[in-house]
Amino acid sequence: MPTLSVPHSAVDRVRSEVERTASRARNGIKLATGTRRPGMGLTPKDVIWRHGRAELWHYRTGDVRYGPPLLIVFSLVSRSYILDLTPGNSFIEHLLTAGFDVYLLDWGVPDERDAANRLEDYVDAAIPAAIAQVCRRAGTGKVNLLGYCFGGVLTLLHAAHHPYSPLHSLTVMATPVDFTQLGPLGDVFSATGLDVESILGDDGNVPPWVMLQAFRSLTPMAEVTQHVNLWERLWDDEYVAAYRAMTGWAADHVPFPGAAAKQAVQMLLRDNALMTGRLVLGGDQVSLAGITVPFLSVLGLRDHIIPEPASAPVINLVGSADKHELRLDAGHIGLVVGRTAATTTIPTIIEFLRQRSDRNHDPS
Amino acid sequence: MGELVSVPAVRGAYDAIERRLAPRLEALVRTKQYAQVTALLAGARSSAGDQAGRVSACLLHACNLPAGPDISRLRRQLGELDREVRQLRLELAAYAENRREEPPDADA
Repeated sequence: MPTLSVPHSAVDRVRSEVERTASRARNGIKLATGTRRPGMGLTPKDVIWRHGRAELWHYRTGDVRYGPPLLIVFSLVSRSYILDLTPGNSFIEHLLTAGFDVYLLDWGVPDERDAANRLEDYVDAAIPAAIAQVCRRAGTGKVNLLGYCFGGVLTLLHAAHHPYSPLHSLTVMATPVDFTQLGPLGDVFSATGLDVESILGDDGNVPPWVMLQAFRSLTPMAEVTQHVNLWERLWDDEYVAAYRAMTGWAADHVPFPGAAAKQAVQMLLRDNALMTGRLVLGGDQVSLAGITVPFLSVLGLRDHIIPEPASAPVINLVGSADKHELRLDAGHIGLVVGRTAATTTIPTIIEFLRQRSDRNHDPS
Repeated sequence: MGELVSVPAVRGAYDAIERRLAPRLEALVRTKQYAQVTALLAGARSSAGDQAGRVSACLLHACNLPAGPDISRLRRQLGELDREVRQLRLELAAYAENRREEPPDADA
């Protein structure tokens, strides 16, 4: 009876609006007061090694079905909890559920003690030491290595400079190699001759706010749009929780060690050394062609931080015979968080590692 | 309920503005001029900070007190020492590991 459905519909709409208004008020108060922030990085883990501010984390699991273990190397500019954002939306959680033994090398929050750190401190010292720790802890001779964003650059440099490093495979995600294609982030240094020294803070590092402003300037309207989206869906508890987790992480940068920043700008950006073969580490000429382990490159076609032309050439630069590329319709963060990550990125990485792993891995 | 009408209407208006404005702003930040202005501002900010630092340092030094740049220099020097200690620690650990893995000396 159409005549009856109209009043029911109107009552339902009114009820729904009242409920939404109440939810808006409740969520608005939570946001304004900063109470009940969503827990992030909650997957249980143990710190098994420390090196300065860096920590090596081992995620707890009683169900390791594949080996060798997976060591994730995170970026130097942001916080690693994006990989373990919230329960149910965690890259780490997916890997553990799939049966991998997962370790993460977190660089911590650099301070003046890290200002003199060069890329070699990470590539030739910390990463090899972390790999040795993982091998010892897991009782294996090899590790699968995975690098995200600038962590991917560090893993590439390590694998290229250490051809005998005990790597079983290498996966890089959203990792730039052609720095001339970085866009505004690169142009500020390459096109203007801006001296890195002029942006260093008192501690000798690039301050987090510089990184934050640089990333924000890439999409000038994005922040306003985020607030409009939030206003529109303020009634939706799930959306608000996800918004708080994501925006909290996006504004939570760490200082970039000054000496490494100078080296990265000169060698990686101005000389575009990964593309031109002018890469020098610890006095040695290094080429990505020296990487021969099974290799996977994952890149996002909508990545505005590391655009596809900056990350795509890596597949042609590495010397591996067994190499694969995964191009996804995702942004920089969408590769590890959200629906695309859960349905495509993470299952593909898991499958890549599974095919190259020993089932029911026995470390002995 | 005014909300039923106003939120989609405001949203529509915002989307229309955003569709027109966002590509222009994004194109602007990709220009060489924008990069140059950013670099210029960073340089100006740095030299303004240096000037102010020099003046305050002169005043503090006149009273035999350390100034901000002195503390920064000390912090950096301590940082370099810390880095060297970290490197030595890693080298020692690697040396100890190699010693453990080496077979016992037959002559010993």
